[in-house]
Amino acid sequence: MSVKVDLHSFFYDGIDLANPLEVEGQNVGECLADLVRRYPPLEDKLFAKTGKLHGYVEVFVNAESSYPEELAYPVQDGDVLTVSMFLAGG
Amino acid sequence: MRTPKEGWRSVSLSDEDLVRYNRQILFADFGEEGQRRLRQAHVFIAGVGGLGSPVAIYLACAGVGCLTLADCESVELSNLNRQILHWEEDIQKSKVISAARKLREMNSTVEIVSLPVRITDENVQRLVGGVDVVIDCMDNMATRFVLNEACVRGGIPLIHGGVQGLMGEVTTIVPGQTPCFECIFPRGAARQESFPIFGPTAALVASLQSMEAIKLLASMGTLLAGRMLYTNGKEMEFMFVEIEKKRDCQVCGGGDQ
Repeated sequence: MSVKVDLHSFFYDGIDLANPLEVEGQNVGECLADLVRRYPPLEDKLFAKTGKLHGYVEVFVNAESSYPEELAYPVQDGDVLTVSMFLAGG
Repeated sequence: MRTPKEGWRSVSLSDEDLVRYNRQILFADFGEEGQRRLRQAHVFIAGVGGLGSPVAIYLACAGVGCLTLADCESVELSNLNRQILHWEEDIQKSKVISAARKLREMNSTVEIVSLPVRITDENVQRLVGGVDVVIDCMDNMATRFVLNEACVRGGIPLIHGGVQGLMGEVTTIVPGQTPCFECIFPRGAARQESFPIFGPTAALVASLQSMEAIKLLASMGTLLAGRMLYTNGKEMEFMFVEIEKKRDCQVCGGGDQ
């Protein structure tokens, strides 16, 4: 499946991303793994050492939150993955 | 944005004020005029937790004339690592009552209005109507969207702050000029986990929010307008990101303005 990725600008500061940015995968986890393969510096920005997404990262598929399935959330060819950052605490 | 209040010209400063605020009056761009502008100002602080505590302290100490505090929660033991206006003796008490008591002791010349209420679509216009600036110290995204819409409709500047762990973010939303909260963040976030937070992260972001408020009220300096500042305490990195209006923003009209 080819999926377009819209990445919050916090994550790619200093990284020259392709435009449009497209990755391959059957679910959110595979798509992000493909993204990290292409741009290794993104790994630390997206994932904690546990392998889970950082608490402030939320991934939307066609504007629908992928939570709680998150990495297991399935994607279809042509979907748009939006990787957002929420620092919701106060 | 609303026209700044002109009444500050008639606000007088006492001899005591001139001593109390001497170190900020000495700042050339601020001066006695800046102090009179602060004395005339009414600031709405949405949330008196990790961000709201330092914001309220700094603005009370700086001599902002009126602070309205809105928070529906009571103090819990797990708040005390960062919510520095609340102490052990305040556990189970209303946060706004706890905060107001200390703020009045810090500066008895500042009017403190305590509102132990939840901010909703129904009451937000009434709560923020007439204030000069709203400071977003909330702990959830849903209420931030409510505040944003009211501020855009009312032409009230909104100073946004958010924190998690060692990360923070700040931007100043000026209706009619900058992108609004709706332009920046997609709705529909579903994550509902308890988030980690250290006191210094909240203090850092709150200090920046307070500085933005003082500058905005005193009409000096350059605001974080159209820019988001991210603070990364883990790596001690600071990063500015230009933010853009969403072309079809349902709240501010975005690029159509």
